[in-house]
Amino acid sequence: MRNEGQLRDDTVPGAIAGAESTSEDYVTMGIGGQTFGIPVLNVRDVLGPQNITRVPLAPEEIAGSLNLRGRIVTAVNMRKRLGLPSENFVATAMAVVVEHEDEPFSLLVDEVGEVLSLQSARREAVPATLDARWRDVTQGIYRLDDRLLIVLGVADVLRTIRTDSI
Amino acid sequence: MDDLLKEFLAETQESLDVLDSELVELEQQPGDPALVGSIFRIMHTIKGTCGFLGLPRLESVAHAAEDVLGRVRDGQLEISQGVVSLVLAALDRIKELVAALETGGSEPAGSDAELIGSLRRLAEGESAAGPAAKPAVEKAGSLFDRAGGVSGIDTACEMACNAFLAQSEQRAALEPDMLKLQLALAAALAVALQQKPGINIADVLICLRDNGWTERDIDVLGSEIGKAFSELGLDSEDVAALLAHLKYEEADPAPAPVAQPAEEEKPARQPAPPVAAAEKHDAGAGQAQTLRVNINVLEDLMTMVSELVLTRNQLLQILRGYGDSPFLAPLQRLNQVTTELQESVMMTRMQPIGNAWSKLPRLVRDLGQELDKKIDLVMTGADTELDRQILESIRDPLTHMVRNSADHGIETSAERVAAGKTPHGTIHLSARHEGGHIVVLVSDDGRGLPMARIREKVLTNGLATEAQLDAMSEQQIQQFIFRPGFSTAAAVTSVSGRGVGMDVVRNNIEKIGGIIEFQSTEGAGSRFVIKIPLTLAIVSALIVECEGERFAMPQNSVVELVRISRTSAKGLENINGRPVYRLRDRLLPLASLSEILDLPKSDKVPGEDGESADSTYVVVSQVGALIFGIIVDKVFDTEEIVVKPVSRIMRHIPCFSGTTILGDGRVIMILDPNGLASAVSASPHVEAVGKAAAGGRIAGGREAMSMLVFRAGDGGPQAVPLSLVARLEEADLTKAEVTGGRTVLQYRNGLMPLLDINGNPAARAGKHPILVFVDGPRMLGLVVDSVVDIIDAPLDLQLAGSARPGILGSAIIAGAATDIVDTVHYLRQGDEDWFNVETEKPFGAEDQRNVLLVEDSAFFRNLLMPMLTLAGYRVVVAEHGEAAVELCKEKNSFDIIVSDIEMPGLSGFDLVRMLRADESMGEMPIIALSSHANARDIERGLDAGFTDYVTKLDPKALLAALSRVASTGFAHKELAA
Repeated sequence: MRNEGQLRDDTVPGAIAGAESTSEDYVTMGIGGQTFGIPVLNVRDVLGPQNITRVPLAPEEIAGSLNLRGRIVTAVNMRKRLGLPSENFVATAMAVVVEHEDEPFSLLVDEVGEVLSLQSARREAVPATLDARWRDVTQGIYRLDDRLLIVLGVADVLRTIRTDSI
Repeated sequence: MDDLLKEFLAETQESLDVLDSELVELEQQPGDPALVGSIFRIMHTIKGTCGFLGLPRLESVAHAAEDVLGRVRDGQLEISQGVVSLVLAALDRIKELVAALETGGSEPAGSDAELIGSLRRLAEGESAAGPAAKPAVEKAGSLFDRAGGVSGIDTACEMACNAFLAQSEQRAALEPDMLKLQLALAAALAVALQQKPGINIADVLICLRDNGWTERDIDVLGSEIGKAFSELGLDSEDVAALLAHLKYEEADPAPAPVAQPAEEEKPARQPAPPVAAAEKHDAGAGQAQTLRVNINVLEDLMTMVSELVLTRNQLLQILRGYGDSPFLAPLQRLNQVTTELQESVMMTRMQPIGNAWSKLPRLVRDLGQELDKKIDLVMTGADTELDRQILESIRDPLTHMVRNSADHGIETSAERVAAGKTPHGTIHLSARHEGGHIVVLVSDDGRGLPMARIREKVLTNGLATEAQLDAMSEQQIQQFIFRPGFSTAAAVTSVSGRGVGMDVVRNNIEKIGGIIEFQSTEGAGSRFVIKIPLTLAIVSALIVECEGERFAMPQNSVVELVRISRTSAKGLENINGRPVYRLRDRLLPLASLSEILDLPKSDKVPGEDGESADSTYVVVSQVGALIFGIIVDKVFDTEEIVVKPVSRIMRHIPCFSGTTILGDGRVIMILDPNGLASAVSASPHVEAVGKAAAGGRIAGGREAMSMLVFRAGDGGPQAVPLSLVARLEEADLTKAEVTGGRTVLQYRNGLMPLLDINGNPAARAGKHPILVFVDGPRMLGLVVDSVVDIIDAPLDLQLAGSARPGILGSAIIAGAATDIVDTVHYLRQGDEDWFNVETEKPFGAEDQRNVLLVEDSAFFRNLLMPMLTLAGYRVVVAEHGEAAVELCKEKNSFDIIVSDIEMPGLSGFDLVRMLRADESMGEMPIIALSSHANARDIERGLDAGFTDYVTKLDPKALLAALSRVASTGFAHKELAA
């Protein structure tokens, strides 16, 4: 294990990571009590609860479609995607809009938190013991002061839905 | 790739297309000087531009071709098929090079020496043979026309300017402006020759002087222009007249506004030449001002307009909520402007359908040569416009159909003459507007579809049986050509018959919401009718609601709407659990949208939200020839919707063709009529009804079964499952004997009782076919009048409950109502104890066992139920596994369950696992009933928890198994005999 104390000092919320050019900013979000992060440059928009139209026969992780200023955005129920209970979740969820292969998607999550600047060098590998559903979408893990942050691979989230459904 | 090259490529593509069709035209009208002139000029332009851009290969090929064309123009070379073929070959080479240039950015390496050699030989050889006296060309048309119109003048100015540059000392200084000058000059000359108001040629000359040109320079330029025109075939008289325009203006140097206007005109003029050339050499008069625009810009524009339309719709929706608003007037203005803008933008996407046809004349010509046929291609309505997206999707199908017509349809001249036709075959291609659609016709006067070959092919491919074909109309049989892998071409020619068939054509057309129909008369020709929508981007759609969810249904597939009251439900009927609706004279297969889309039942109580709740609606839709009804809860307005693609992640769902945003901002899915149609016809029943409607749609239903169809007694045809019949015999019944009141026949060392169709001992007279049923030592012969056929058909008993004993019910087999014979009835008649042998009264009559029979096939239900009842069981029937589970939960009073394996939904294996999981039923004997019974199947069945496993078509084995299970107590695992 590397120097843990040092790592914690670096991860000040919102801090610009000094002279290190290898830091990256993450938008944090909570799904079922776990903190996830997406590189801030991938995030197009953050929306409150939306009016979502269910799409019949769609894969179960797809909550439906929503209208974002005239664009049709496909909403992904992240709780379902991670195998967490999701009763009455969609109506209250926050939506993080990302772009993938020129198509907008919105990830439905419990809450959206602050932006953290994290040292890329501190990113740790995905533990092999993680549940497959989670491992598929995890790109790495950061240890914060009080919790762990999972770096969510947006492309992985969407790609695995596609292969499931076909 | 630099812009100049791109521009050249785009322009050359167009020129080449024009050349293609004009050359073919020239071959047919060899004497048309205007045509020759036009072709020569286009080739010349290509040559010139290639030289300018430094493309030596292209230049030399074009040059050689131009030489040949020059001879033709000068009357030194007769137009013949050989000449045209060679020039077309040169054209093909140019196309190849251009294509390579487009992909690679530079000319590919290689030699064109051979081609150029033959072109040269043609040009020189013929001219050496003696310059034919140049026919005195009538001076037709105005000076402007003789000068070659706008494109001719352009070419001349270009040549003149190049020549001028070549001899000028200030070449470097002049060069940058030369193109401007050339264009301004050409434009001014054109205006002067047509005596139209416009750019004054004097202005151009004055401007030159202002820029420091000397009189001498202008003189040189003038004489170069003269030279250029005479080189282009203008006689000296005309050249002088032309130059007079220059001189005259020069002599009258009226101080006039500077040449600025000329320069401003330039950008609009620039792209004109190729277009003008395409417009039949006299485009000058009504020349359209065109502009080349990147297609992406247009697409973006379209997207923006779509957004605007949506926003407008939303605003109007909001406005409806306010009675009197200050926004009313401006919004109405916005509404109007948006509509106009939408129309204009749609116009930019419109292209004449002729663009998709441009390659066809060449194609037909080459085919005619290769196959030694004389074919005329007549095209009408080429200027009919449609959306470019649709144009792209019909280009290939149209080409394919024309190719088919030329290859298979039109006969050789000899054949045609022998058949009393003109030696020239004709292919007609036409397009016209009809409502919101475009109707395209492709017809030929060739040999038509050989019906005998189609039938033969259908039979060898197993698409239908002989009897099914007999029941079909000629047109229905013809529709088989749209089936995959169907080609009537006896040999694979280099042209068609490569297995890419009409099914692909039909798919492509149906994909864009179009329909295709085919008619053919043997010996007289065939005819395709294609109906396609004008545009795909914005469509009119009917908004429907089902279980509280809304969907858009494209209006062009909706035939009509029917409202059905829930209380009376008049006309709504069920056949075998599937709803149908009696619409006027036809039976309409129905499917509920909520079932197709698997919508969750909404909690809304019917009646809660107003009047519509006590009625339901049927949206009658048509896809191809299949007409079906979709049941929905509510129907709203039609709305103009902007079609947006479905997210990639959900594109595999066949029921949706797109997404859209409604006026109120909500997102809804657009239903795909093709997807719905396949969902509707997926159910076996609709397939059967659809067969009658669609003509030639043969049901590939699950329960297709070989039926032996025969006639006996009066009445219609009768049938029995072939698998129950052991043999077919024909016997002379006078040889039959009578024992114990029965008619018997000595047959294979035994006595076979013979029955007639009424179950009585057969009369001993005449020769008759006999259906032989065999079971171990027992035999029975059923005497019939004639055996008609053996037909594979899905079995759907329509009228259960029979008019007389021995009939299970009726079914439609090969289009005729057919009685299905109850074999068991006859077997019992023939041998009283046929089924009782091993039952041996295992239980008393007061001790009847309750049997639950789970079977989805109506046929087997009807076959087995009377048999089991006769054997002394009390039978309850479940039509599927889910119903069986319900029944077991409801009244757990069954002693034995007999279940089919293959069923839709819950299979037999699933069922037995579910029941075994339930403690109260853990010990219940369950017998599997299946059409497969090899050792592995049996093992699998027993593993799954079945008590026993018997084959469906062995009623005796089932009875034996039941008896065994019932008498020896339960859970007795033993294989069936």
